[in-house]
Amino acid sequence: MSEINLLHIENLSVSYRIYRGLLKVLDGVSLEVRPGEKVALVGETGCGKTTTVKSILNILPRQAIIHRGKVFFKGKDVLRASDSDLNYLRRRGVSMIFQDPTASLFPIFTVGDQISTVIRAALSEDANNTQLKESSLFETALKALRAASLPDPERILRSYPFQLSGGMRQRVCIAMALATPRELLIADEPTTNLDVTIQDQVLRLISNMVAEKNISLILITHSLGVAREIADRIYIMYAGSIIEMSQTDDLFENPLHPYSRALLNCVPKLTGEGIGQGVPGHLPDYLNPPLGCRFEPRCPKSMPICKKIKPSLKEVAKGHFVSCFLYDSLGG
Amino acid sequence: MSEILTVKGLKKYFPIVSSTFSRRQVNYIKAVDNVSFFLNEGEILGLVGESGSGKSTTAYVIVGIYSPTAGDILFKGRNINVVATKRPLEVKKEVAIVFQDPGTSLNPQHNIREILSVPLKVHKVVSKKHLNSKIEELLDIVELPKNYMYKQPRAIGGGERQMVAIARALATNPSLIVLDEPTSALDVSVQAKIINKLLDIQKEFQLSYLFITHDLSLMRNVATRIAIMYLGKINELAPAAEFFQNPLHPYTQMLISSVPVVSKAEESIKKKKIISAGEIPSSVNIPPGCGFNTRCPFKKDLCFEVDPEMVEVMPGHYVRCHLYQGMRC
Ligand SMILES: Nc1ncnc2c1ncn2[C@@H]1O[C@H](COP(=O)(O)OP(=O)(O)OP(=O)(O)O)[C@@H](O)[C@H]1O
Ligand SMILES: Nc1ncnc2c1ncn2[C@@H]1O[C@H](COP(=O)(O)OP(=O)(O)OP(=O)(O)O)[C@@H](O)[C@H]1O
Ligand SMILES: [Mg+2]
Ligand SMILES: [Mg+2]
Repeated sequence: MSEINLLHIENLSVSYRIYRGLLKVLDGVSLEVRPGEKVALVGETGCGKTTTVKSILNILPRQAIIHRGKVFFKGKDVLRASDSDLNYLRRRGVSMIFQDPTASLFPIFTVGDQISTVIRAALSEDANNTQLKESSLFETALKALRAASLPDPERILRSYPFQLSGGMRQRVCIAMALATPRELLIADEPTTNLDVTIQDQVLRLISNMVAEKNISLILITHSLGVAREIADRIYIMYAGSIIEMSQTDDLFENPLHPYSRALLNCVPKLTGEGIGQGVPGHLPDYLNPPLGCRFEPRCPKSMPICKKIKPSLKEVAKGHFVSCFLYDSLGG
Repeated sequence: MSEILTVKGLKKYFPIVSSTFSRRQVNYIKAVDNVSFFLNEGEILGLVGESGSGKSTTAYVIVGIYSPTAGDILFKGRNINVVATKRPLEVKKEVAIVFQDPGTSLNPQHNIREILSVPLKVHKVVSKKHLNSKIEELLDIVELPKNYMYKQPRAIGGGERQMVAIARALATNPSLIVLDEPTSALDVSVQAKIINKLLDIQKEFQLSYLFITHDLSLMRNVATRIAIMYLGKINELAPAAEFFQNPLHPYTQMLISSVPVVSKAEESIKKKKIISAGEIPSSVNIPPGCGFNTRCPFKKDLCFEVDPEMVEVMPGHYVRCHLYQGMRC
């Protein structure tokens, strides 16, 4: 493991136990985030993005089974961490903005109550901060809302979530996530239900805040455009595997994996060159996923070997990794 | 070219009863407020707007789900602006709709055969004897296998459900289809398939589409002309290429510059960067003057007093903004 990583997920495989058997969702996912780096995890519905990041906080649901793999945060193995290490991780190390913003704010408490709880919990981890005053709590909360460019923060502290617009609620979530010092922010589809002009504001806010505080970011999105807007580096996920990873510009100028190419082709462009044909077929059934490459059944370039063996993620150009046998001879 | 649909001064207000005791209506949600446009035969008009701008309400009034508060709707030159329930059956047959959410628009208790039978029976499209073969034909158009007839909507994917909804819209051989965000709940790879299918169908059956969406990049690739809606009103309307080359309304410019893109070539289209700011006001509290005055970087005093009128500044290019009031062509 490289010393400079803040987060390192190594070969993680996770299944969900359901009535009919095992959903073999994550299949050997590896992912790294360096300090101050902005990384995007991109993939379509059900490919395992949320499952991947929940493992970072060790908050996978009970039905989840971790078969293999390790998650290191600052060198400590999260999946085997003690309770006190986990508390530190969740209160000071990593904060997460969950996919559903309505679910992450309690409807019956004011925004002020909820931010205070988060701040109190985080500060209680801090040994130097033994006597915590309510007045400083209020100030910290106000500062957090202001930093998230929320207008009239005093009023918002007194508001209940339903009294705020969708964009404001999402900004409150960001404010809460970054109210106290953190090292990594995970934002799971933070703008999916927002209008484009509001999405633009929220993305700019996240980007500015993490840059200002030098926090690392994992942004989860199904939108290649959103990922390109924000990320330094992009992971493309398909059916529980990382199929391509590279610096952002590289990925858009020279996508390698047949799935990345097809996906990019489907995105409607402002230049109006027409829309690609889409990707034939469906995501594989996780109860019974293909033995070899999970994209093989839908791949226009499928070869016999792809049915038998799963290709590993290999560096085929500097910093550009792809898991596909088409590029195997070039592999380092 | 003749107009298949003409909408003039359309309004749809929803009353809000302010007091439960006196039951006096003091306020309205002006969901659609004085909207005019036309749709040529064989054309795809993109109606684009953010959440709550009144797109679905416009759609529902046009297809006769809601009665309009005021204004005229002409279908092939014939005024169909009657109370929605009294709309002639032959008009209902010709104007179909595909709804926003494929999850809830199909009755979950029915199988796909039953879902597709409803419009076929109501409009007596085929005799009982030919019902099955017509249903097979419809499924064939949207490239779903025949055996899907006996599946429940829940048992198929989101993209396939939307294909069923399209097949249902086609059942009565309509000439106009209103598509209300038919792909916004779907992944791009599924969206691509549906859009391509919709474009094929439009050509093959020579249909006209009123295509509602919040996705500007999608409309660049689909629409003949594009209209932008904001708080119940149309702010700008222009042919698709012109719309992106020469966007005039500050709101249009803000929208275009907010679209996340995937290539450098697209970025050059976003060159007029207007930083998005402010919240969309609620439709109950639309500010006086121009509805966009709370967010507009070019606002002047006039914008808080007078709501600008729609002006045709170049042939076919309409904009509703005080910056261009003197530029009538
Ligand atoms: N608690 C659970 N029990 C059973 N299956 C689950 C559970 N959580 C997730 N799954 C399944 O695991 C797969 C991956 O889910 P996950 O939520 O990680 O995907 P995602 O990439 O975040 O998708 P989305 O874009 O829809 O949020 C899906 O098929 C999902 O149905
Ligand atoms: N039946 C109704 N009764 C009262 N208000 C309504 C009704 N239908 C719509 N509205 C209001 O009218 C406005 C326009 O709603 P509409 O659904 O037409 O917007 P939209 O542009 O389709 O939005 P979205 O993109 O979210 O679908 C909104 O403020 C909405 O709350
Ligand atoms: Mg998810
Ligand atoms: Mg709508």
